[in-house]
Amino acid sequence: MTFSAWMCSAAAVLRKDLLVEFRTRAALNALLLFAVSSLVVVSFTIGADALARETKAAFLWIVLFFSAMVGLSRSFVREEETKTADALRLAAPPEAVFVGKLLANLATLALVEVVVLPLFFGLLMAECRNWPLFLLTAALGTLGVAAGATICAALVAKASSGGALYAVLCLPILLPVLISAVNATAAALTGAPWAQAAGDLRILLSYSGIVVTASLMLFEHLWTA
Amino acid sequence: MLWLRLANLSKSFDGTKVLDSVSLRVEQGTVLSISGRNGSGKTTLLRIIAGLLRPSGGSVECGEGDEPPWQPARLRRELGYVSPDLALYESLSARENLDFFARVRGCTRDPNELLDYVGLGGRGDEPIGSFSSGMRQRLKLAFALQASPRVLLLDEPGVTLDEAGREVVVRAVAEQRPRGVVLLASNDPEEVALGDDVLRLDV
Amino acid sequence: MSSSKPFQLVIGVAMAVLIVLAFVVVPPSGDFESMFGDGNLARVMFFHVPCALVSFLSFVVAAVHGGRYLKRRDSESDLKSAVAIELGLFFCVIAAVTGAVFAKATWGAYWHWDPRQTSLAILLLMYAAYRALRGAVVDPETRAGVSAVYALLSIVAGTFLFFVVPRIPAMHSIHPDVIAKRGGMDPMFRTVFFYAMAVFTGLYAWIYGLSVQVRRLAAER
Repeated sequence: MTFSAWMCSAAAVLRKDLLVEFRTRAALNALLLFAVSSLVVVSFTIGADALARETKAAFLWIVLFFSAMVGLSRSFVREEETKTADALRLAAPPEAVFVGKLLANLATLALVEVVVLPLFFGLLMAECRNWPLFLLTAALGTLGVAAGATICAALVAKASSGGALYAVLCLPILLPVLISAVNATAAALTGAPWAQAAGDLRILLSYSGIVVTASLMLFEHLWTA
Repeated sequence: MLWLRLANLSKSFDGTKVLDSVSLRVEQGTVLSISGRNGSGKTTLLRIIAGLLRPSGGSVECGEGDEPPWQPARLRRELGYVSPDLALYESLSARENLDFFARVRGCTRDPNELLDYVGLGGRGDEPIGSFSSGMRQRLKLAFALQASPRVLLLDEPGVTLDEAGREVVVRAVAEQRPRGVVLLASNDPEEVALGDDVLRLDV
Repeated sequence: MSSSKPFQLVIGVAMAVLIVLAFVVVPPSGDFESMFGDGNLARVMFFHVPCALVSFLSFVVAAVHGGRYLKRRDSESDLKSAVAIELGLFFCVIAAVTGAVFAKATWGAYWHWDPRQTSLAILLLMYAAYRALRGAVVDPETRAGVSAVYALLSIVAGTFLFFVVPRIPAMHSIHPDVIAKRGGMDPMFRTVFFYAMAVFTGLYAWIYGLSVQVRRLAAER
């Protein structure tokens, strides 16, 4: 298959996943509900003043991580549960399936962040001193989380248990992303110089790249018989 | 000229041998019926050829004339597979399903034409969650035929179909014959009779 | 080779020698004396560090065999991968426990979350996740494939974490090796230390070879 045909395949998978998700809305609802209620609970109980900026940064990524755990495994688990996975195997090249689902998870996380970030700044009264850094970190961090979460979802789809296993699997894989993202976000909130966060941004970028590459290579072995 | 060859194909599940050294060769224009009692491995055999299951031993090769055998990815593209195990996307309509698979496969065959062919013409816009099992089976047939496959694998194709539905199957098999090969697994004597030859998996 | 009688004998003797060396022959470390008040504490390095090293090594072995499995799809590679994980987990726990005991003796608390301890904890986490995954998949072929992919992914993550963890601002390393490297190690100490690494690696190879054989026989039955 030529590269452009392959990209069309991936785009078709993305479109289909978003369409199906939009019709059922199961994963998105769970994600949003979790994220919003976590923010509300913390704001309500601990209060924004009691938290240092570094803590707020950490909290943001904890919420995003667990939201991903709540919602992103559906991308593959649902295919196996409803037995549509075989039809997909017959029709689509494996890499296109992975990329399509990665993009779908990325879109889902981005949508959640559109809701969560304003709430984060509002409810937790966070101030951002360096917006470009914050946004860049959010983008790269989201990419890293989506990449790790997607390949782990493919793994979990083959297992017979569910949610708890997914989080256990994702944690070691996503830890580099979380640590770097929290560091860089804290730097953005406290107004630290770019140089301080540069190392973390480099790690985020390279790690995301490596996870996606490794996943693409490994996915075929996982997906086909 | 298309050929499909199985060489000593075996499959064991957790120690139980389901397929034991199955070998055969079919050439273009052949319809092969596969029969055997329940559990004799008909579905397993077709799943292995379709690339959905890895054999424990032996090989599946398909190719054209004197050219070297096709890569698995090529075989997957030239394959059409119908099976009771297969399912399509319940929350999408029939047309949306076919449209999706067309894009994913990179083929341009018009979904409406396919829907008419299998007799689902007027029902293209309903979500298939509301379809009867017979209608789902027709849609699966449309799915299999979509990419104009050279190798058509049918596992119990008529199982939920009415008279008209079975006629569609007969027509599809007849039209497929000059294009490539058909492997049809069934216990229904009428369906088995469609084949030029019968492979019994019992023995 | 690793399960042959001569090898076992060599390892047994080597380990006995190590124990004697570690506890009797090597004098209490001057560095440790000045820093922690008790030079004898340094003796733990002969056991704790090799265990940590071996447990990391074991994960790499598991990943390598996982990769082999994906290529060959043979149950032997999967078996070797699984054994490496079980064994590695064992050594990882020992490393964590000896480390915690040492931490308690020197700094008064069992766990400090400095980079090295954190890295060990993360390794433990990777092992635990791998085992959970293996336990959750029923079909042997699927299980082997899934485990192999996860082992390889974890190695990638682990390698990155090795560089990432020290960057956490809250962590300043109070780990002795960082300090010891500053002054350089006393020559006898250094010799025994490397000897200990070699002995533990040999011990690991022996147990690994035995375990693989046992598993192989059990599978054949």
